[in-house]
Amino acid sequence: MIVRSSTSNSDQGLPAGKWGKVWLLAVGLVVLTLAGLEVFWRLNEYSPSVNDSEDLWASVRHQVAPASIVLLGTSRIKSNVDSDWFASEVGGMPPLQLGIMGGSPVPVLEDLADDPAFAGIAIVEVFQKWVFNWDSPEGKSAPAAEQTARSYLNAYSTFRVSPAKRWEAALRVRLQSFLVMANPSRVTPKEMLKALWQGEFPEVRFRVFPNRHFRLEKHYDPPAQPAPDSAIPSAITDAAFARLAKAVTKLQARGGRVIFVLLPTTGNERRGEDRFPRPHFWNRLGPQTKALTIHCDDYPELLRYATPDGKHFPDGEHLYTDDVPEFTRTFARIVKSKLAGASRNGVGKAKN
Amino acid sequence: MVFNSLTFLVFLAVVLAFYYSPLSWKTKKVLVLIASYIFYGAWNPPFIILLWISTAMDWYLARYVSGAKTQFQRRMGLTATLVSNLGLLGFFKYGNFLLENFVAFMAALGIQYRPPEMSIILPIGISFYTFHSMSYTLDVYLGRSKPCRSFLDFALYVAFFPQLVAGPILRATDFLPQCVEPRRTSRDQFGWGFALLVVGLFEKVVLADWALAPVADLVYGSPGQASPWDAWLGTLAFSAQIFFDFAGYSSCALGVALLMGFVFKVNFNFPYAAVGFSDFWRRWHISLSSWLRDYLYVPLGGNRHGEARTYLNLMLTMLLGGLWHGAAWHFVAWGGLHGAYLMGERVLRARWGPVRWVNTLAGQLLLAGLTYGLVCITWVFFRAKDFASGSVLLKAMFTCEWGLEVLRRREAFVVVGITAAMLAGHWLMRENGLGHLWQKVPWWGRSIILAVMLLLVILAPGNDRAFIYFQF
Repeated sequence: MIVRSSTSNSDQGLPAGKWGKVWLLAVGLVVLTLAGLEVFWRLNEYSPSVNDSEDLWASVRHQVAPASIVLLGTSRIKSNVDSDWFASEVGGMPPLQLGIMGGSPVPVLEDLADDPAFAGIAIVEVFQKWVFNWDSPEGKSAPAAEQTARSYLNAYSTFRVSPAKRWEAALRVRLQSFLVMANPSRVTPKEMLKALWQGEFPEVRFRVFPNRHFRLEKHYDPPAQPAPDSAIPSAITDAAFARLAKAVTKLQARGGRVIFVLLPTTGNERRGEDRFPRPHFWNRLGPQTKALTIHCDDYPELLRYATPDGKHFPDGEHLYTDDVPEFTRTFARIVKSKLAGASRNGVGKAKN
Repeated sequence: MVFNSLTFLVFLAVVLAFYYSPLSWKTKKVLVLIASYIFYGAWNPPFIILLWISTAMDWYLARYVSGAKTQFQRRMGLTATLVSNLGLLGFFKYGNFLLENFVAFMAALGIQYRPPEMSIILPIGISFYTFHSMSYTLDVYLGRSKPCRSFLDFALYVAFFPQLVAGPILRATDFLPQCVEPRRTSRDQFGWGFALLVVGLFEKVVLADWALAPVADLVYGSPGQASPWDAWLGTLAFSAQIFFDFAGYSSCALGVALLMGFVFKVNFNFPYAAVGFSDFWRRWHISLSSWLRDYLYVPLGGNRHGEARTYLNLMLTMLLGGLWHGAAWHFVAWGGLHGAYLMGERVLRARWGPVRWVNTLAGQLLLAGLTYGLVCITWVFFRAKDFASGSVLLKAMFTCEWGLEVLRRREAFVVVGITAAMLAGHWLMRENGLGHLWQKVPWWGRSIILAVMLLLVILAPGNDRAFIYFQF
C-alpha cells in the first residue's frame, strides 16, 4: 500500500544565499538595541530587578530545610523585613522569604505544617482581612488572596519534581540580577515606548532581589480607599481560628515554632487593620493557636515608624528603602527575645 | 524543558557544540540520544522509564512481527503493540476520565461507588511518542518497512528531542533512512533552521502568549457575561492563539532538527486558508491527521465499503482524534463536529458534483471564509473548560446584541488586526509556503525581520505559558 504524502519537507523551498550576512546583521542589531536600552534605563536610575514569579517563590520554598526560619505574609513583610539584615542581627542563615504579594499566608502555613521535613520557625505577617478570612467587598477578598497563594503552591508542586524548572529559575535569577533588560516584566515594551517617546516613566518603581525582598525605589501615591463602616461579624473568625490552630499545632508538635506578627501601618492601611477590634481578634490569636504573637502597638520601637506624615511609610504599609535595615534589626531583636522568652533555643541557633 | 527558555538555549548550544565536533557519526547519535533523554527527563526524571518501555517494546515487537512464521503470530505481535502502547496511554491519560465516567454511570443506575483516590500525573508527550513508536511496528506489520537494524537509530527515532514532547509525529520511513549516513548540514539549512526557530518563538511568545491568550482567557473565563461580540472575538483570539502556539512549536522543532541536518515534514500548511474540511485536515497538524488516516481510517475500510460505512469511519476517526486531544467529553464533541463537517462535505460534493463557481477566486475565498468560520465554532469546545460553559459561549455567539461586555476596544482591535493579517498571510502562502516568500526578501530585509522578531521575543513580558499541546 502506498502511503500518500500530503506534506512538503521543511527544507523544500529552502531560501538560499547569504545566511551568514543575514544572521550577522540580525544578531548585531539585536545586541546593539538591547545594549542601548540597557544603557538608557540605567541612565534613568533603573537597577536590575528579579522577576518575582511563582517559580522564584518555588525556588525559595525548595530551599526550606528542617531548621529554617521562614517569613510568610504579604508584600508588607517582603518590603519591610530584609533577610540579610535579619541574619546580621541574630546570626545564622538568612530567613527564607515566602511572602506573596496579594496572597494569603494561611495556605502556605498549612503547607509547611503538612511538610514533615520542616520543624523550623515560621514568622507569619498577618493581614487580618485575609488571615481571618473576611470576604469584604472592598479591595482584594480573602478567597482571592487564598487563590493567589494556592497558585504559588501549585507552581511549587511542579517545580520540586522538575529539574528544568529549577535550572531555568537559577539562570533567570542570575541574568536578571545583572541586566535591567533581562526582566521584561519590569519595563514592558509599551512603557518603553512611552519613556523613549514622551519621557514618561512608569510611576511605581521597585526592585526585587534574589532573596525576594522588594524595595520601593520611588515614592508613589496610591489612590485613597475609604474605610468601610460595617462591623465584621465575630462568628466568621471561629473557623479561621480553628484552621490556624490546626496548622500551628501540627507544626509545633514536631518542634517547630510559629510567630504571628502585625507590622506597623499608617493611614487607611491602619484603619483597615483597626476594623478588627483587638480584644475580639488579635488577642485571641495567641491563646487559641498557642503561637507566639508580636503586635506592633506593644513595641514602641516598631511603632515609631508609623508616623502620619508618611516619612517612613509612603503608602501606609511599605517602608522606604533607607528605613529597612534598622527596622529589620529592631524586628529581629524582638523576635529573638520572644523566642528566648518562650523557653526554646534562641533564633541564632537555627541552622539551615 | 521548553524551547522558549534560557535552559533550552544553553542545552542547544551544548548539543550543537558536540554535534559539530570531530566525532564519529555513531558517537554523535549516542550524544544526541543522551541529550534527548536529558531533555525529556528534565521535566520529571522518573518518566524516562516510560519512554524506555515504549522504545524497548516496539523494538522487540517489530522484530517479532517481522520474523513471525504465521499470520497468527503476526497478529499477536500487532495486538501486543496496540495493547502496550494504548494501555500506557489509556492508564496515564484516560485513567481518571474512565473512572469518573464509571462512577457517573453507576450513580445513574442508583449505585453509589466511591473509588480510591488516584492521582495520576500525565507524562508530558505520551500521546506523541506512543503513536510514534506504535507506527513503526504497524508499518512493519503492514509491510511498509523492514525492522530497523540499529537499536541506536530506533531509540533516536523515538526520543529525538526536537519532536519528542509535542510532535510532529515522525514516521520511521522518513526518519530512519536519515540516520544511516552522517548528516551534512548546508549553510542554507543552518541559516533557515535558525530562522524557523526564531519564527516559531515569535509565534508562540509574542503572538500566542502575549497578544492573544489574555483575550481568550478573559472571554472563556466569563462565558456567561460575554456578548456576541465578546464571544466571537474571544474565539477568534483562541483560534489564532492555538495556531500560533502549535505551529510555533512545530516551526521550532523543524528548525532545531534542520540545524542538525535532519529534515522533518511540515506539520502546518496554512490551514486557515483551507477550502473545505478535507483540505483543512490536509493542512492542520498534518502528522496527526495523516497518522489517523493511515492507521485508523484506512484499516477501518476508508471509503471502500460504500457511503454509510465511509461516514461511520470518518466519524469514528474524528471522535477518536478528538479524544486523543484530551480526556474530556468536550474534546470528543470537538472531534464529532469535525466528523460532521467532513460528512457534510462529502454529501454536498456527491449531490452537486463539480460546480464552476467554486473554482473562481470569489468562490474559493467564500468557501475558505466559511471553512474558517465553522472551524472557529469547533474551537469553542476545544477551549472551554467543560461542555456546559462551551455551550453557553456558543449560544452567546448567535444572539443579537451590540457592544462589548467583557473586552475593551483595544483588545478587540488587536484580535481583529492579528486575525486579518494571519488570514491574509495564510492565503498568500497556501500554495508555495513560507520559504518561497522568504526567498523574495532581500538579505538585509531578512535580517531586519529576524532582528525585530528576536527583540520582541526577548522583550515580551507576561507569564510563561506552556505550549498548549504539551497537555496532550
